[in-house]
Amino acid sequence: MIFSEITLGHYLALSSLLFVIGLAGVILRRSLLIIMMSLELLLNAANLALVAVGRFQGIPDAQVAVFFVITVAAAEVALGLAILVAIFRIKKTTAADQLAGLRF
Amino acid sequence: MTAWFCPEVLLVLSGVGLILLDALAPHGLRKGVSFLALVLSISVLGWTIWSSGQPLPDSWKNLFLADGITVVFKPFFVLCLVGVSLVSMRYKLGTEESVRAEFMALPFFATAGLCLLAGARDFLAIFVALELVSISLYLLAAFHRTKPASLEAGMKLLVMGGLSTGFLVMGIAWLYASSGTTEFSRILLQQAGKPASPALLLAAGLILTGLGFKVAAVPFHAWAPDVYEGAPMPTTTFLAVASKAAGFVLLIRIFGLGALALESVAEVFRPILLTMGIATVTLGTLAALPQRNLKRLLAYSGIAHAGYMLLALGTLGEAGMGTVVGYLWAYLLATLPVLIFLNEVERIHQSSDVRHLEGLGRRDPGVALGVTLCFLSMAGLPPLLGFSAKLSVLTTLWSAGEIPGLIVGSIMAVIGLGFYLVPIRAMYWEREADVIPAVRFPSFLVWVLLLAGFLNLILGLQPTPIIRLVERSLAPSLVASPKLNP
Repeated sequence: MIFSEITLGHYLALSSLLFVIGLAGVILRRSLLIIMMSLELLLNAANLALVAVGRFQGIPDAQVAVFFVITVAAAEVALGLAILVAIFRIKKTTAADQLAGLRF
Repeated sequence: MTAWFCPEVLLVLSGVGLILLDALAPHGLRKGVSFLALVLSISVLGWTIWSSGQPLPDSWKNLFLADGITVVFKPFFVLCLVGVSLVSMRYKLGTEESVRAEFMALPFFATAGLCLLAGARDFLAIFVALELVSISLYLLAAFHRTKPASLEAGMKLLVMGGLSTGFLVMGIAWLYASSGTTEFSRILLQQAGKPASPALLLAAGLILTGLGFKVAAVPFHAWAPDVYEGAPMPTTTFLAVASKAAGFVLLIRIFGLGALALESVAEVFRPILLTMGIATVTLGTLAALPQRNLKRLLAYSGIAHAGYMLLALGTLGEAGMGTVVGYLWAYLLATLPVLIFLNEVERIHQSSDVRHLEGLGRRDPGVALGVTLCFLSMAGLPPLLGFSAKLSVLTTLWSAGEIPGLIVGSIMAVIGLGFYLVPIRAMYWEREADVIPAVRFPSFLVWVLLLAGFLNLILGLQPTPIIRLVERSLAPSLVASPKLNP
């Protein structure tokens, strides 16, 4: 049975899956809000991998790294939401297609 | 050296000082905040050059190192800051004028991040330093919060930057999985002599993708023209010069020096880097040809330059790394003056379309001469500095036997002349189409631009100082250090 014991491989596979979902979200979704959620998913996929590697290979450093990533992600999303609010005030929408003023 | 006197700490203190000054000082003093920022950046530049080569404080040594690359690139980044401060000083903020102190202070924080980046020896330090730069830049790009173009630029930069961060962090996670550490020399030590493991290759691939966004390499380049055009001019300056250089410093450290130690990894990444280089040069050059907005033109020209540097780096040898170091200096000395000039054009005309340059050769011959020399240097015309830089890329490719890269690089260098001549033609050959407001450049800027133009000429004729820098950055002890003996 492949599920008899959960190994590092399972965690890394899940993390890769989350990463791909996040990447697809950034590329395919139209709403800026959901694009930002997908960016968070990317970072959290990496966090899962870090925690799992830290646990299974006995490297506490990897788990400490997660705190750095969480902090940075929080700063990034705070800034992103601030920009989003400013965009919404002007455009009354958060659709990414409406952000096409800069074209050749 | 005590930690208080490191350039990074001085930069952060200066930034905090500028913000505090704005909050606490009487109104009269606040007007001087731009000038103060310029003076502070120049003093930090002086200190950085004077104190370069000093050992780091002991408490930093686990995460940072001082070597040839930091000696050469910390002054590089602080010089960029001086340029950005000069541009910011002359930049009109409009409705955001009341928060000018923040606009002047944020580049200081970003530069502190860049200086840390130059000396980082651990991927976690690289990550935190890179984010210090990126987050400051998102804020600077979206600084005009009532202008749609600026907000759009900020949002695009944020999404692309976030994506790049995602790849980088995932790469770091896989580095832990493959090597159990993120300290650079320990990874090399641990992997030396082994066949490259798939996990390590995946990690390197993810990190390369993350850095590809930073240097705007094809296929991760799409954000650059939009962000350059929409962002305020000082932000564009920072992105075009400092941010791109930071990406290459990391590429040199991770891939250049890493490949010297791990031949098995180098085998895999050499064709990838070279292919990216060829695609980047081609796309940057061809897409720049029809551009008439100078900010977009510079964005594509920056992409093309990144392609040349990737080609040189892609040979993954000592010569290639040295070429990239020299090329970055040549790129800085030619691009920074052009951006300072564009800022003035935008200040007068509210746009950076090439037709605003028409007749400049007659109106302001000094400025036109300086800027023409810089553009020609970017184009790589002999005997200017840019020519030596491009030539060294091509000779590196020749001696490494990378013929496809050599052929594409030479062809694109010739085609590239076409778009660099667009602004020059406008300055000297076009008649003035519309009534141009009789605004003249301030005389100190005329001198700055002329000086910069002639610097490109003199260094092109006599490139010894640049060669010294290259030699300094790749001092033998440094290049040997990754080949660690346990």
